[in-house]
Amino acid sequence: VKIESADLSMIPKNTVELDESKARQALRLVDILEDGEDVQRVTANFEIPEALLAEVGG
Amino acid sequence: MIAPDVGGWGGPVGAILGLMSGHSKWSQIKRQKGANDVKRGAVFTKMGREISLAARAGGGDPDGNFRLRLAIERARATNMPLDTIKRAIEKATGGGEGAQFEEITYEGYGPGGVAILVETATDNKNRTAAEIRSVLTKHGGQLAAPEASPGSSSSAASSHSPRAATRKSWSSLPSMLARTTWTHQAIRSRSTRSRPSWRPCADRSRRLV
Repeated sequence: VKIESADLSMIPKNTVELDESKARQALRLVDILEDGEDVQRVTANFEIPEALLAEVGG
Repeated sequence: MIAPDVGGWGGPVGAILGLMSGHSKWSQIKRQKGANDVKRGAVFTKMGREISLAARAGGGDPDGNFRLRLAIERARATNMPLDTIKRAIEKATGGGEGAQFEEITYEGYGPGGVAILVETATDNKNRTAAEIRSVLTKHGGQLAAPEASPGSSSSAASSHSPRAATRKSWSSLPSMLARTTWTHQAIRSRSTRSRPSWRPCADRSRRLV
C-alpha cells in the first residue's frame, strides 16, 4: 500500500458550517495566510459543502 | 523518462536521445519552471524551515526523529532536492549560528467565527504577528491573543513536540475559541479533500477578452 501523506495535525473536535459566501471568504483567508513567508501551516475548523470544495479546489 | 547519460558526447544512442529530449521536453519544462520558480522557492523555504526545526528538536537522524522523517518525506514529495534537504539538516545540527527560528502558533477567528490556528516558524516575532494580524483583519477575521510560546524556549533537548504546548493556553482564549477543542491525531492517510489545492484561474483572461 502506498501512503499518500503522513502528518501530525490538529483536528478540531467541533466544527463550524459555512454558507457559500462565507466559505469562499474563509478559503481565501486560509490561502493568503498560507502564502505568508513565515507560515508553516494553517488549520481551521470550518465545514464546507463538498460541491463548493470541488468547484473551487478543482 | 530517464535522462540518457551522455558523458562527453558518448555513443550515437545517447546523442540521439539527448537531442530528442532537448527538442520537446526541455522547452516545456523551461516554460513551466519559469512560471513556478517563485512559488517553488517559497515552498522549499517552508519545507526547509520545518526540516531545520525538526532536526534541532530531535537530532539529525531521520530514523530516530519521526518529525524529521515526516518533514523530509513531505519535502521529497514536492521534489525538493536532496542536497537542499541535507543542507537544512546540517544547518540545524551543526551548531552554526544562523537565523534562530522560533515556532509560534497564532490563534484567531475567520469569517463566520471559524477558529483558525496558524503555525509559524519565524526569526522575527513582531513582523510575523503584524503580518498575520493584518491578513486576518483584512479578510473578515481577527487575531486572538498570541501564544506566549511556552515550551519552544527549551528547544535544545526537548523531546516533546512543541505543538503539545498549544493546549496549555486554551483557557486564556476567547469564548468562541475556547469552545473548540483540538486533539492531536496521527493521520495515516489523508484524502485530497482535506485541503483544496488552488490553481490559478485560467479562464479569467478569456472572460476579459
